Amino acid sequence: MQNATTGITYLKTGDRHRGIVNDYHRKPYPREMQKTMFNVDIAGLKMADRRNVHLVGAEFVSKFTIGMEVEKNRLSRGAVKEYELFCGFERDSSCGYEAVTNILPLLPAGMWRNKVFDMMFKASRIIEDQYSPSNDRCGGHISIGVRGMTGDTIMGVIRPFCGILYAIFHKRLNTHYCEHNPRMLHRNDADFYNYPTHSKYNVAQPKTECLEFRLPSRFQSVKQMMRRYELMYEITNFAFNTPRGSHKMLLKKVKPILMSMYDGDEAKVNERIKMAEDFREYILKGTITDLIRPYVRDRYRR
Amino acid sequence: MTNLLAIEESFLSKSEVKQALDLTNVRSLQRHLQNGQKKKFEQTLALSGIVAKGYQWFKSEGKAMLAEQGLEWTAKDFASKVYGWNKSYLFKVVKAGETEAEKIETFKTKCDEMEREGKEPNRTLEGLLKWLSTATTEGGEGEGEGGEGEETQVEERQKAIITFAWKRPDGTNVACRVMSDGTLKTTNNADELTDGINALINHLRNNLGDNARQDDPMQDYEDRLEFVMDAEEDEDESL
Repeated sequence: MQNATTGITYLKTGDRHRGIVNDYHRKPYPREMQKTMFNVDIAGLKMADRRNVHLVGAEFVSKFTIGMEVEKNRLSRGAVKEYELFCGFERDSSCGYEAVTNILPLLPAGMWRNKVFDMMFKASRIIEDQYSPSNDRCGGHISIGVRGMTGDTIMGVIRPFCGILYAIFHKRLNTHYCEHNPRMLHRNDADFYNYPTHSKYNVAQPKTECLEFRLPSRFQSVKQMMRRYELMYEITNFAFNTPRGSHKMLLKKVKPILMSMYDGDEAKVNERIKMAEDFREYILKGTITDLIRPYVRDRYRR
Repeated sequence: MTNLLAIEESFLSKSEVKQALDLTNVRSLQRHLQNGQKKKFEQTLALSGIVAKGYQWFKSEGKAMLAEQGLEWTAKDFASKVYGWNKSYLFKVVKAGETEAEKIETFKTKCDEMEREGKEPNRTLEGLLKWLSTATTEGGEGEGEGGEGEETQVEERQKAIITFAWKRPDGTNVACRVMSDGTLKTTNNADELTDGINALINHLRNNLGDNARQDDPMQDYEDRLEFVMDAEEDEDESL
């Protein structure tokens, strides 16, 4: 039951089509879940994070949104049903099946985010590889939205801070499905046509109201999904609220998330952080260091 | 224990969390706290020791573990979701749990003395904390320099002679107690209490007329109006 004390409760719709596997591109539209009527959902947020929640009429609306695509070879028997998290399921020729989340609020830690993570937890049978397996043919696209902004604008603001994403998913940089426009350039940029371009298979694909990161690898666990969500919040929040902040500051903020992602392996995390710094220079200037050379294109040479 | 999300239930059922919070004992002691004032107080003390440790764990490793699971809890959430309490009651229990054993023994001894004198000491969590704060304010027990000191007294447990509770149509509560020493205990303001009394008077007027059932005039109004004559309620339990 949702009220002023408990806050928003995410419920299923009962729509039959959200609980079956639809044909490609025939799944129901994503629900917009980035709004709440209840102050209690944001009451615990720090002042710096409250600016990312806008009061629109009688609703609190998250400035940032996130959507995720969970691709799998097979879906666990009996697990295909409606989940609060997903707008629906569809067949995917590249990997098998895809479960797409609704439009979720992208939030800092707090009561509201606990509820988003609760939806992920309840969808374990779809997300966890132990129930619904995946392989290298599967990806984990993540779409980021910023209220009032187009995908092109988002890309322009966020790209200086995507080095860490490149570092984490560097092995996917040469994958056909996401190897184009490797520096996240706008088509008006002088260097845009010096790199391979594609209408779809880019590292990050601007859409009308969001930016789709095609680089992330497949989702294999709920914990992984939560960590990526946390990472995307920090990157997005930093890019849009502290654009002049130092890259080192961002990397310091995300280090605890990386430590959890890499099971406490600090050496590996530090390696990723170093790669992130080099990838940032690549994104911004096209500079290629020895560390990242195996993974990126120097214009039309490899 | 209230409003638990599925992910939170899962967190609380993890063996290492149950162990750190000693939840098995907590639940057992919470069950035992239903009857027996003296026994209840002993169990409250036992519970407070466990809860104090649990709260310390929550503030240190617990937060990290919650974050690993993607959860963020405030102290208020911790109190509500683990124990079913509000935050202020949690802090009272923690304070009792962190009190030195010697001071607690002194408090219990004083309660025993009062009982032997035929008085009813406030042998409750609230009574203990009041006694501790008074003892601290007055510089503790014992004699002052150059003269007789005064021992801090344990408060005598007051009985409520009138208890009133009213659930308003909007679902909010109005409640008050008049204690045997004349103290009024309420969290509502004068206007709210007046509305409550007027509601009672109106209901009595409407239902103690010719058509009312003389044998039980209050029967029809149990859902909206509680009128409790017996005020022996446990003051330790949070509303």
